[in-house]
Parts: sequence; C-alpha cells; structure tokens
Amino acid sequence: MKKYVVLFISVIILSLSLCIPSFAANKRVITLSDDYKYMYYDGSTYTRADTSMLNFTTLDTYMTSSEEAYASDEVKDIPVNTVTEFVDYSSYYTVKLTDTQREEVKTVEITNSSYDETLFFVTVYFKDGSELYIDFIREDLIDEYNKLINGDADEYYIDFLWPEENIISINKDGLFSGKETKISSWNVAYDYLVYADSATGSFDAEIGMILAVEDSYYFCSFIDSDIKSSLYFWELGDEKVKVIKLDDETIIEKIKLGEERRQEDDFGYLYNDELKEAVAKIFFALVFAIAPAVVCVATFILALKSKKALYKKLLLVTSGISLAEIATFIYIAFTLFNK
Amino acid sequence: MLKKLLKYDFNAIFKYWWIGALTTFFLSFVGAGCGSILETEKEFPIGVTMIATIGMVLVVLSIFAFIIFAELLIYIRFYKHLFTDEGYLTFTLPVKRYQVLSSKLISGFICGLSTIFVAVAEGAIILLTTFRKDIFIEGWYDRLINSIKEIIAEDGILYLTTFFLEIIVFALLVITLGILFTYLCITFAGSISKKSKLASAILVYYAATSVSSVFVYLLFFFGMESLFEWIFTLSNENTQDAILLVILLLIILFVAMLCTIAYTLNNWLIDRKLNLN
Repeated sequence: MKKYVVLFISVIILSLSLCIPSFAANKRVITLSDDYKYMYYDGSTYTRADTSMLNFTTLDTYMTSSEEAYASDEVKDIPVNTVTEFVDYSSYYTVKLTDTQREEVKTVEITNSSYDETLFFVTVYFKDGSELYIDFIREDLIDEYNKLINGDADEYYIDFLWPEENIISINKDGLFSGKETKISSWNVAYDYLVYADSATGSFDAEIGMILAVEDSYYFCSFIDSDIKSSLYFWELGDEKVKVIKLDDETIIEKIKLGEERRQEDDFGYLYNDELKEAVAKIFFALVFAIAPAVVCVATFILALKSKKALYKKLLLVTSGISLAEIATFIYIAFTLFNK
Repeated sequence: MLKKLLKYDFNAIFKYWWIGALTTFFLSFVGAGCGSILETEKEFPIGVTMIATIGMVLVVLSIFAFIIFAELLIYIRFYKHLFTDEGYLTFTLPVKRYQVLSSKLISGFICGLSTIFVAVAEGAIILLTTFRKDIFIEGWYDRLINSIKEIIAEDGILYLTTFFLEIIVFALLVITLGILFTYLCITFAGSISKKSKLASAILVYYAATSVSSVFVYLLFFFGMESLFEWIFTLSNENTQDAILLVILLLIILFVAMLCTIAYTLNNWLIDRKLNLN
C-alpha cells in the first residue's frame, strides 16, 4: 500500500518539476487610453488601424463572430449591438483599466496578436452589453504600414501556396506597368496571392492576385478597388474585374517557374484526387475485405483442426465476425457503386 | 468459479483504486478553486496567483497520474497473478484457464471504464466551476432543455441515436482491445523470457506499440481521411448518413475481430507457456 502511495506522489512531483519553468513567465500588462484610440504596452504606444488587408502569423487563439463592428473616429458612434462569441485561449496578456474605464467597461480581451507584438486585436466589453473591436498597430510602424497598404512597399512576392518555400520575389514596376483591361471574374483561375512586405518584416499585406487566363497572366490589385482581399473576389459573381495584363517577361518567367515547382513537388502534385481515390479504394478493400477474408478462412480452418472445444468456439466466433464484416463490405460496395 | 475469480480480482484492483479516485476527486475541488481564482476579474496579489497556478497544474497532473496508476493496477494484477510465484497457485485452482483470462479482462475493463468516468467527472468539476460565469448564465437551463428538445424533434434523430450508440460500442471495444493488447504483450514476454519477465514485457509492449501506432496512423488516419472523402463524392445527400453508419459498423466489426483474435492468442499463449496439455 505504502509503495503505491509513494509511486503516486512521485509521479506528481516528477511531472511538476518538468513544468516549473512555465511558472516563471510574467504576465504582460496592457493599458488603453480613455478614448480607446491608443494602447500602451511594454513602453510602446499603439494606434488604431484597419488591418483587413494584412496577413500575419499569430498566437494560437480562436474566435468566431456573427457580425462585426469596427472602430471609427467617434468611438461611441459605431453600431454596437452585435452578438459575438470569442474564445480567448490567451492568458498571455492582462489589461489594466483606469478608474474611468472601470465605470463603463466590463472586461477587455486581447483576442489576437502578431508574434512580434506589433499588432493587437482588442475587444472591449462594455457594461451596457455593447462591444468594441479595435485593431492596434505600434505607432512607429504606422508610416510603414500605410505605405504597405497603399502598394508602396519595399518588397513584393507571389506565394504559390506549395511547396512552402515556393515564393517568387518580384518588382513593383513590373506588376503595375502592364496594360489595364477588364476580364470576367468567372473566367479565371487563380492560385497566387501577391504580397507586399514591410521593411521591418513585421507584417505583410495581401495587395492582389495573379490570375491565369489561357496563356496570359493578369494582376488584380486590391488597392483602390472594391476588392479588398481574395475573400471578396469570390463574391463578385459575373462582374468584370479591372486588371493589369502582365507583359514584364521577367515576372512572367518567374510565375511559370513557380508553377513548375508546384508540379514538381511530389506531395502537392502527386497527392491529387486520383491518388486519394486510389488510396481510399486500397484501404477500403484491404482493411474491410481482404484482411477479414484471410482471417475468416484461417480461423475457420484452424477451428476445424482444433481438438479443444474452447478454441473451436473462439475461432468460429472470430470467423463469424469476419464473415459479418465481409457481408457489410459487400452491401456497402453494392450501394455505392450500383446507382 | 468465474464469479469468485472476479471477486478476488476486483478486490485486488479496487483496494488501491478507490484511494486514488477519492484523492483526485477531492483535489478536483481544489483545482476548481484555483481555476476560479485564475479566471476571476478580481486582481489578486502575484503570490496568490502563482499558488493558484501551481495548484491547478498539480491537480491536472494528479488526474493524469491517477489514470496511469489505475492502468498500472490492472496490468500489475495480471502479471503478478499469472507470471510470478503467485501464478503457480493460480493455475492449480479448479478453474478453466480461459476463466482466469476472462476474469482479468472483465475486472480490467470495469476498472478502465470507472477510471474514465471518474477522470471525466473531475475534469467537469474543474471546468464547470472555473467557467461557471460563462456557462451558467441567465436562462442556461431553459436553453439546454430547448436544445435537447430541438435535437429530439429533428428528422435525423434515429440517425443521431444510432451514430452515438455505435460510437459508444466502438469506444468500449477500443478499451477492450487496449487491455487485451497489453495482456498479450505481457503473456508473450512471459512465454519467451525465463528471467526479467517484467523488463521483457515492457520492451515487448513498447516495440509492439511503436509498430502498431505507425500502422494505425498510416492506415487509419491517412486512409480514413481519403476513404471518407471518396465515399462522400460517390454518395448523394440522402444516402450519406446511412453509409456513414454502415462504415462505422464495419470499423466496429474490425475492432471486434481484433479483440477475439487477441483473446484467442492470449489464451493459447498461456496454455502453451505452462505446457499443461
């Protein structure tokens, strides 16, 4: 009895000692200005920004929302009767409220932030039931950020999705110098987003897409257009989209190179729908037909040969279950393929 | 005689099991308190927060330790009762050998199931108490009852019920297979090794687990994902639910087949090991 208690306690202590470093983490403290236009953290000031075009890697948080409201210049004039569920996994930050804020605010949550803490997504829950969503960006980066979303960045690249490192760096002049035209949004296939990178590398912005139509490539810009991101693109229906037909040979060659790399990448190219179907069929047949068939026959033969009644019964039961499995397999195969 | 064997096996396992269960049950309330401190909007001194964090971690670890402890009780009982000096006595009892194995399996299964229930209950106590403000909001009971009524009123209630029953059967079979698999490793090690049977059993278990987990991962996760995608492209909306149920039935039969194979093999190895035939 004693040794079990000792064993039990030892396991707890051993596991606990492995977790001690995590206790040393300090909580990060954030404060907000009373008008919610500024945020203060770690000696830096953050100002509000619309980050709808930004692409960034974040801490692992999760959120769902039904409607969204964004901050405007007049903080209290935004529509606030929204219903939103946020699941905040982060106890990484804590928000310290002023006395004025405590009178009207129930709680403030940091729902998301970029890894290098240049961007924060904050939700303020007021006591009257309303909510305010604010995106904050570090003040010293605001000029860089504005340049980025206006298409005046230092670096541009096309992301071909896979392989992971399949990113083609391009120059801005080549992207914007082609002839402007219009094409139907239903007539295109796109796989490639165009990003502008910030000088500090803190974030990058989705500034457009490369569209492939027959043998030509087009650049569809999100800047100064109704299309704000790739997500909006699919809502256009059969409207004509303003695009720039690419004629810069360097960029076109780079796009073709990116496409070749995608096709050469075994995982991205080979594991297509045909291969998936083949794997599914093999798996289906192997696990639910061939294996039970082998087991059924083998156990039946062993049951016949066995002299002991117990083993006869056990083997026959196993054989029976395998047979039931084969019958179910035949039924489902018949249902699926006999339309 | 099976009942008598079960009685002794239950006594041997649950004699210590209930201590772990009771301890972690009380600790779960401590964890709930710690969780409440961490989750509250009130600001506590850093020392209190630190103690609450340590307390919470300790409680969660103790629940995991209890689960491991319970599993060890099952397998130690099996090993000691069959493969140590006590085993000589066991096999001279006026019981059939398959009854010895069956008794171990039933007691292990019930212990495993009880452990899962206790662990889930403890987890629920911690989570429900910690997040009570978010869960038990005004009108929560009515909303819960209405959701249940909506589910029952749905057209697909028969499908849902069958689906859940199949999931339960599958889970029970997986627990059984897990126990039989470990018993098989212990029995196999006991039959091939003359000395250091315990060390051999651990080695065989880890080797077998490593090999089988690769197989399970490749075949079931890689294969199952492709299978479900392919099935859904072939079937239409009306038949998808029925086909999913039948696929689950196939999986259940497959696991049941593995259980009977493991049981038969185990029995045969025990017979062969003692060479009493």
